[in-house]
Amino acid sequence: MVNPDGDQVEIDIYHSAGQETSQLTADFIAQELGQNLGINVVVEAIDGTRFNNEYWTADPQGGTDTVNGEEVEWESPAPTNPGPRSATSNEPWDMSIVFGLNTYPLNPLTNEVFFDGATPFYNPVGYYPQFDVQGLFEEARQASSRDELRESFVEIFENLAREQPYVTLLFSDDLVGYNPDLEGPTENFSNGWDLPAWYEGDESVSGSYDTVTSARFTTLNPLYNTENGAGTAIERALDPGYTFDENQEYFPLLYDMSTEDGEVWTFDVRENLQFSEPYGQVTAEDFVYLVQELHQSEWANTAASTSWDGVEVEQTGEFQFEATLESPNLLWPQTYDPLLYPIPRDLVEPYVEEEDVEGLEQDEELLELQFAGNLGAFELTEWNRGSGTEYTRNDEYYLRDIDEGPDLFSEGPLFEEASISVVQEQASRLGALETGEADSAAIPPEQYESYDEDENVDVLQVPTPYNTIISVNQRANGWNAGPGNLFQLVPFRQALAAAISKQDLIDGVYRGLAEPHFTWQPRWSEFYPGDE
Amino acid sequence: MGFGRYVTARVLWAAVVSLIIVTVTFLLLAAAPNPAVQRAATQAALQGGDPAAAAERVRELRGLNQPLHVRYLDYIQSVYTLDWGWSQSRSQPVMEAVTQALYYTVQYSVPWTILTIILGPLVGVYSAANMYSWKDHAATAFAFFGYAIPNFFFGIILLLVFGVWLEVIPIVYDTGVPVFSVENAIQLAVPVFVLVTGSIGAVMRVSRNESAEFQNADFMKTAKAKGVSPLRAYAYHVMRPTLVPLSTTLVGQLLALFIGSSLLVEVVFGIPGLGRLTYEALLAQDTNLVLGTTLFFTFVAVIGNLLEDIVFTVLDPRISYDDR
Repeated sequence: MVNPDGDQVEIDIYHSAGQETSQLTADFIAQELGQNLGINVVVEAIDGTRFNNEYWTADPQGGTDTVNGEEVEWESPAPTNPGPRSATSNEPWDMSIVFGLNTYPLNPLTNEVFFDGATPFYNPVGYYPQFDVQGLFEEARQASSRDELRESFVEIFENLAREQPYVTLLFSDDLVGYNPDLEGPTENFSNGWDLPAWYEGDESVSGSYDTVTSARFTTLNPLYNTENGAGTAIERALDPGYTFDENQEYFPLLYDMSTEDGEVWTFDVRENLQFSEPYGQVTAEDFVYLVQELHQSEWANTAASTSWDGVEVEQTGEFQFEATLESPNLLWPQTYDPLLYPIPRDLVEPYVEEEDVEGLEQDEELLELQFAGNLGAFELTEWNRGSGTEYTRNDEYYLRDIDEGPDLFSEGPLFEEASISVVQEQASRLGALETGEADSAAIPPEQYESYDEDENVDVLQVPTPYNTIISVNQRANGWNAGPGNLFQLVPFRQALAAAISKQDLIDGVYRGLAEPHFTWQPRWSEFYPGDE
Repeated sequence: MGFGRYVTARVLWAAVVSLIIVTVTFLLLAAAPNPAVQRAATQAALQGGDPAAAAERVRELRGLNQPLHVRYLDYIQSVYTLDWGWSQSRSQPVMEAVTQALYYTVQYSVPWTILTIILGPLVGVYSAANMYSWKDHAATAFAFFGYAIPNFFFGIILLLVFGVWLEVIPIVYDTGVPVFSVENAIQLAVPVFVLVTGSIGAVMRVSRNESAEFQNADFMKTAKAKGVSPLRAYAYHVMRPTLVPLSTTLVGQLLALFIGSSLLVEVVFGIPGLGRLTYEALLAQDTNLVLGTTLFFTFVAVIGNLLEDIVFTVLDPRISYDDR
């Protein structure tokens, strides 16, 4: 491929510095584009933060442009979508594999932030859709049945597959090593949802479930936690409102949610939930108070505050409350927005009266989950800030008395103790897994084979919705080979996608531990458009 | 100037130094943007509120709208009353974070320091006594090996051998075992060994070369002629003069007895000590905790210097305090 002057086209691709897989992927892309399209690709390493600040985001400028034949105005420009294609970052760039994105298979509506016309919140590459994506998202929002919903989404994802706003490559799997005596782990996105039914050896209460993690927990206060790892540590001792089972379907823990039209949702709270003394039984009042006085307050800044914006909550019975949304959403539970932790009203009331954020953040009962009563599989016995958490079995766990779920819930949890140890060094985490000191740990892809052969470790490939994509810069400072910007042309992006063999990439760089990615959903998603 | 006056002046000076440091940190902090205010403003902007009003609310709440001198006096008071604030990244008071980390650091730094200052000179003198023999070479090789191999790498190798292959030591550090217990001794043996081999080299080499001077000194010849046993000759006549120049290093090391910590060794062995605390506070931009750990080390250094100066004047009469 040559430019009008007759020189070979040369463009650059950025990958994350210091990450072997990222570099190998970039090298592979360069090789494929060189061989199949005759483009000379220069591979550059860059630090993720620097790439984000100088290349990926820009000062919001706003402006107008013609998109798909219509005049469009950027009303609320953001750093990740600063304006039309003429609004650019500081540094020019062509292609990048530094960032991947979530495809939100449970709640595809969230993908609006990437693709809602030309002016979504997140559009660093300057993609202008050439189909009526806004109309289709609107249709999905208005859908009154699962089938209608599916129809709209399938159309969206088929169009995205054709237009390749980002050149899709693959979905990588999480590799998790487990103690082979452990019964329960599955190669499923919802792996771990039924932990109370897991056991070691035979189906009796024994032993300890010990895991290791790389990151310390900032807080275990359920009102303020925003970290995944700490969320796991909290949920060992305190169940959230609901979860999703192995079929990705709603499973009620503390409350069941139901709706007719997606606008008014009824929450039915279980009647066998107890806080620790002196807080007594969990009722609808606790949840309503939590939402109205904390999540929806001006002062508390809880982690869930954005989730409850514009939602009207009303108590309708001792164990029932209703939430009315501004606009209907059949997939509301899938957004995790209505996911609540139970917090006793009497515990937080003094802070609410004083509007005391610091007091609420630093409350020891909240930080140490001392109010959890029968609401968790285990009781938190110690949180050592440096080294992790320790738990003992909760003999009163409410889940034993419910009708839904696996039979073993009636005995759960099937461990006497549990712990999560913070071990920063990867080699130490893996060593602990090998010797059986830890029952579970993440395995780095480059060591997959050696652990797969190890009889002391079972390695599971757990699928994820996180993709690896080539972002191609369709803004004015992309396609530095000039003139114009070929990345703006759909056929050219299709050519890029076709020039790279996804399967070779998966086999060669990812050791087969990934799934090819054609449209904006993984194959296991309910909304995957099919292979036609 | 008499000894008493010297000590008084020196103590006052230490107090002034610490006050200067505390003041400088206050000024730096006052000039830097406050993360809590920024967080509140961002949060308000995300929720469609007014960022300026939210920032103002937080400023008021934290007393940041008061005049500088009022805040300074408040600050000085809380620093010297050990009320060092709340660590945002660990959700506990800074003082508690520091003491908790210290508790784990001391458990390995005490045996590490003691073994280094006892074994270092011993091996050095032994080496000198057998100079250029295979024993000397072996000891020298050992010292250089420990000095040269990076601690974290050596640590991982030993963990692999003794933890994963032989399974004689645990891999996950257990904070729950009592300090004086066999389990604790076992889990700390390897980290202490790694640290001792890493720090013994320098002491051992200096003492070897120093003591080499005294081997053939007149008093050694006399001692040998009198029939003094070699052990006694080395212990009494060589070791003592050797230790004089070494004492500077040794005193410094003794000072680090409780706070000498090693980030890399703590990371590899998963010990939640001071090294990791300081490092993680920096990474998490936890202002209070960074300040707390900085002040802690500062105070220890100031007090350490003070003690060192006083001890020197007591130990060595040649060091005069008159003209200082």
